[in-house]
Amino acid sequence: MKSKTALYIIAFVFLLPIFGEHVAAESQAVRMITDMAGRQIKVPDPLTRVALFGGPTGQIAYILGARNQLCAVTSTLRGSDLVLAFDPSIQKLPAPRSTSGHVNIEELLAADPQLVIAGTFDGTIVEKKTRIPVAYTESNMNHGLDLLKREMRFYADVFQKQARAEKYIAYLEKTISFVRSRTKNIPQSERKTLFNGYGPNHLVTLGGDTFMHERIETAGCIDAAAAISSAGVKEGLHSGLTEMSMEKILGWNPDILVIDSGNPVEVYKDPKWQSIKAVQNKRVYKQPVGVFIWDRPTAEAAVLYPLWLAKTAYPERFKDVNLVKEVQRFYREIMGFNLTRELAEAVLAGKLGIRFVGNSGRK
Amino acid sequence: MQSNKKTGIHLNPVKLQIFLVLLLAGVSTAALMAGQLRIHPYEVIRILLSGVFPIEKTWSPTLESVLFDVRLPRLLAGLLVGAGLSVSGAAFQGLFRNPLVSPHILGVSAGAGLGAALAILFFGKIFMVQLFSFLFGLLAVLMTYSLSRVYRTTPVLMLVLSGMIVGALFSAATSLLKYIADPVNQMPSIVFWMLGSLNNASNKDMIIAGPVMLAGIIILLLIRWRINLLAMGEEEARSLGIDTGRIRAVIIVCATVISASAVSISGIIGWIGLVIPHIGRILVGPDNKKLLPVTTLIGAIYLVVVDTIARTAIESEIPIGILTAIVGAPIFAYLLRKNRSGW
Repeated sequence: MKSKTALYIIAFVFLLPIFGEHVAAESQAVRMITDMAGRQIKVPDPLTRVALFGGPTGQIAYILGARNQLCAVTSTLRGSDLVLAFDPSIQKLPAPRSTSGHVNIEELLAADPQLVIAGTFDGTIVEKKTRIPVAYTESNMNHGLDLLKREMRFYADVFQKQARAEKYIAYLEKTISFVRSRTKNIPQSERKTLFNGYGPNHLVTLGGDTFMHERIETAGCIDAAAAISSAGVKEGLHSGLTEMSMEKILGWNPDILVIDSGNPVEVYKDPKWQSIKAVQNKRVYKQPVGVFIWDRPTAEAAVLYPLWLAKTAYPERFKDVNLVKEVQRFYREIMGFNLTRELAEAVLAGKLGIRFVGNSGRK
Repeated sequence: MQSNKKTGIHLNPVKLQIFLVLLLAGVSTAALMAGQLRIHPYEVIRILLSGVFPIEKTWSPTLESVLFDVRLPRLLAGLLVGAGLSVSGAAFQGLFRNPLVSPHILGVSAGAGLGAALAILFFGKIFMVQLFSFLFGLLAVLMTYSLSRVYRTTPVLMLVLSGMIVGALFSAATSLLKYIADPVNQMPSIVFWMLGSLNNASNKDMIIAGPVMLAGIIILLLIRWRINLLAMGEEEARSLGIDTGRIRAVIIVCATVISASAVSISGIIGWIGLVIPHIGRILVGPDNKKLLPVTTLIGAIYLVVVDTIARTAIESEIPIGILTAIVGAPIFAYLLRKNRSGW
């Protein structure tokens, strides 16, 4: 008698998950999506709770108008001054992934996503530890425009916002071909050499095998670091970045220097930089910051960085372009952010920041 | 002869020192001529001499800037950091009577690391990074020193233990900062800094930190015979009427100031302070009177050579902290195999 009861209990316990799954499957429609790695993933339809893990891709939520379909984002998106100005509620979303490889699984489970969209490294962690389906993105530092368009269409497929994605892609193509039409005729002898000098010492840069090369060429400039390859992943460092020696930069003698920390006045005063043309001609610029910093393969920077650089390098060829108005127009038409004049100027001056509250947990 | 073989090579220290000085001069000259930009050696000499003598300037200001603003301060930084870390390592190994001790044992690099990370987080300026790493390096050693005095039986052991405690605390705080740092720009800056590099050395750094490091090195060299007395052991030295506490304090202050300055210029360069003294010991034996000058010279030569590789081998910079170990470990293994180091 006793053993029979035990048998029933065991059978019940074992059968329970089967019933559970059956019920879930019946109540919700599913559809198949193909991720960027080419894998087929079954996801609930409609998707209302998606967790975004990719570093710079969070802005896709606004570009596609899919903000309400998100249940978790990255801390970079949550801390962005520009996003907070228009969507303060973003702070209420959890950010289970802090930096690459650090995923707070419990926080992720608490957010209860139907789908996680992540890069290979973070995605593997989620797949190993949870049953949440993972769609892999393909993001690397030699992320050209073609990959960006593919990425945009993949997200559009996930969120079912194809029209918005095509609107962005058309905007991107129009801007790039406008910039190219103005810069393609610049004679080689008049082209300006540009060096992106990041970090406090302005010596860390993106090599010629990264997405930055394409942007620099679109703007009609010569990429000083063209021969440097840095796209590989380096342990503990952001892939794509590498440090150059000062001497190399003295040898390149760039006409334009773009920095991301400090300010141009400090560079003008530094004796080491004195013999460089960019310093002598006072052509050191601080890189703009929008939703995210513009030296990353993001959707906003793919459009605006080449335009900004082209106008900055060749103001006489872009007299009719008002960068403040262009910035306002992009964020209004594509992301639905109505920037005031002051805010657009702050974007261009690199005055906005990404505030890091901490990697995890709500503020 | 037989006994010498057991405890290293024991070269004639005078001849060895002359040889090392000549080698140092040769290596330094070569370092000034090598670089990412090809400048003809004759041109290098002319530009350098133009700093002292009135020579007509037929070269571009860029070349002058390369030599006077980049290669020269970098060479000086390499010489001083290499010499300073090695001589403090040798002094500490004598003081603690332990061959596994490096100048970082009292927590100076852990402290400097935290200072640098804080400065990168809040200021993002090179000068502040250097200042903070220097001050926090000193702070860490001060904490180690005061902690070691709470329990006064075997001060040397307590110093090592306190150093471990303070080092662990500061390292954990640095890891915490790295964890909350902006993963986009600040984190890579902290990581680059931790790997060590002489790429940021400037003339201003050398004017401020150079004399301090030089003074520390000279004091350690002047009191080198007293380190021998400490090596006899606390009681024996005291019975000879020597104030061991004061010598210990002088050595700690000098080594700390040297390594904190070194770290503030170059980031954390490990291995040198640990291993160069052993190489010196293989060559001249454990007597600190001979060992310290030889170690100073070898350290300077070694870091200049490694830094020249770091800045010329590939197109971007190789972090020097990685190279010092990659280049140094096989050399050390070879020497160990060939000669048994007398300790």
